[in-house]
Amino acid sequence: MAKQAEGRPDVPRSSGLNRNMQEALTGYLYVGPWIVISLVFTFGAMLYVFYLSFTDMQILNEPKLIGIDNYVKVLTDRLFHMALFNTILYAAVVTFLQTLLALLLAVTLNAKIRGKTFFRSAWYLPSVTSWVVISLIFVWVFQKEGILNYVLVTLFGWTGFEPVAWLTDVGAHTALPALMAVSIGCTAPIFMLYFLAALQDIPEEVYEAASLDGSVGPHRFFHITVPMLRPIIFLVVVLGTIGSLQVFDQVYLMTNGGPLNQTTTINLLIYRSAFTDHRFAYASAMSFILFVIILSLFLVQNRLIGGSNTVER
Amino acid sequence: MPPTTTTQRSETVISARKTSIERKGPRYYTVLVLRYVSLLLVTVILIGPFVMAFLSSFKTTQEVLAWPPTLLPQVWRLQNYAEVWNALADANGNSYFPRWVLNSLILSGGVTLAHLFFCSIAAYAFTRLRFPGKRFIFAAMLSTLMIPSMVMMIPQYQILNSLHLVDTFGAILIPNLVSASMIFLLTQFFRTIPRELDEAAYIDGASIFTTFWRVILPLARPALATMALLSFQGMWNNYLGPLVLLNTPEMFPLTVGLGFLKGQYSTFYNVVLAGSMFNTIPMVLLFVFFSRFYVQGVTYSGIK
Repeated sequence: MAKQAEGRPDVPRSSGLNRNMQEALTGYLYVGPWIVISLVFTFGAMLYVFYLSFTDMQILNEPKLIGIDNYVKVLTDRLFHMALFNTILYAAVVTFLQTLLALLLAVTLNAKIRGKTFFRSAWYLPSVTSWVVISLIFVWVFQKEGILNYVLVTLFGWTGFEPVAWLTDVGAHTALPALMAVSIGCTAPIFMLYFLAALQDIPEEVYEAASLDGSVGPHRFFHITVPMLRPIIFLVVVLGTIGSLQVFDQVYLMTNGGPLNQTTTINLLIYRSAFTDHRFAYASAMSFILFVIILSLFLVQNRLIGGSNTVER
Repeated sequence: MPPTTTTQRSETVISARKTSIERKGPRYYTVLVLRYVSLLLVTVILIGPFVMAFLSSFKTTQEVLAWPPTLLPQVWRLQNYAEVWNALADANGNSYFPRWVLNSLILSGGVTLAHLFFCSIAAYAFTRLRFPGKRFIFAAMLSTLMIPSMVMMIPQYQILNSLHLVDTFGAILIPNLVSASMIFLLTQFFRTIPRELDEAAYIDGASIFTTFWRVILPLARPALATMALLSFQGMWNNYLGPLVLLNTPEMFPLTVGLGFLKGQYSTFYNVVLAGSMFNTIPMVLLFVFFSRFYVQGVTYSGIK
């Protein structure tokens, strides 16, 4: 890709600069804005957060190096353990179920049905809605007198189902699952589009050959469709993991970590430590731990399901 | 999860159809009905809450919390929208809500324009120009997609604070002038444009910029439209950045404003839901009118 010099004549320029040199300079100039911004706000920021995590930075004081104290404090903090547990549980359940749901929705829509465009668009609508609005809506839906309880009582009242305050009931432990359900339902349709695009790339002949061999129904799904979709499944799992490990908006707005920290996630804890309690160094150490977790999970997933180059697809 | 079981059923329904399609007996019609019933059920589960929220934004404060809930408002109370528009005001009596809408438009519009220019020239350089270290820079760019945004909030806050930019639009706009994911999306599209076209222009003596401006950009219009829609929507719906970097209510975009409103109006769900519609309906309209570009965005990348 980079080396395609052959066949392109070097046209001398009046400026005296040779064309290759001019091309290289222009290249740096065009990529320049990204380089400058990311050197400051991405790479510089990452180095800075790494440095801060070894200091006693609160908010405006001159940072002083104090070694690994912050890491020791974070790793022995019981609240951090709870947040880590909640975050990993949340990410595992959400990533798994949303990938599965996205795949099933895509396979459903890939069949010859009427109104395909209608269903695809309707299902996608929550994905253009901000998490702020989704949160405001679902706080109302999940109330004890909310529409979810009304529907459930109407359908399952005969089993003795009683309305639950989904987001605030301590004993019922429903807050985290409720947050998971909202994320799954609102994110799966995005990934459904990825799967739909990939399904349309599977040649019809593959299915014809499979049906000659007697592969139909679930067998065909698991032995033909899923393996053919492997690169895209990898992509969806990786993006889903990275996204769900960072869950913040919905948690902050719907439960703010409650009840009794049942929904406190790492990102919520980082936000609180840094921007409410002004413990920047402590929050930096947590941030760096989160980054390491995301990076190592990516490497593990790459090993397990990924082929090379799938992310660059 | 209820949606999972429903779709599982419709999946088997679909494969069952293949065998019965030739003879349209009663079984064919049963399967047909079952399939559409399950599709509708999935639709109700996925967007029912949103439709209910829209309808409830016209109800009275009592009706929005009524048990049993009503589907359609007994009286369509359009005043909810006027009420939220004037809900909160600053010391001089100027309403915040219109400011928030305007701020959201300025920030999203600004980011979109910046992306249209900076991301497209960068994508052009990555796909068409030869310069040392290109592969490395591209790989570095892709790797930044893995860095959690919260991790960068702390240092970004410190950096922007030392530049005296916190609580100004600059704090939001400057770090977002270019986006790695949008550059990536455009490179995926630029690679599909035949090289012969720009090489012909090149040989005719057109400068690098002219080639980009007159040959590549006109051909890339669909990809640019996709990118513009995604950039606009991304900033319009962004919450964390403005939450951290903007402090005074006059500076809030609508998302942060709505969170603020919820704190003040927590018992007036009808008003809060009406406010939410100001955030949601523009995005829904963009999606309805330009949905093919959203679908295209997925084809060219794999990034939201």
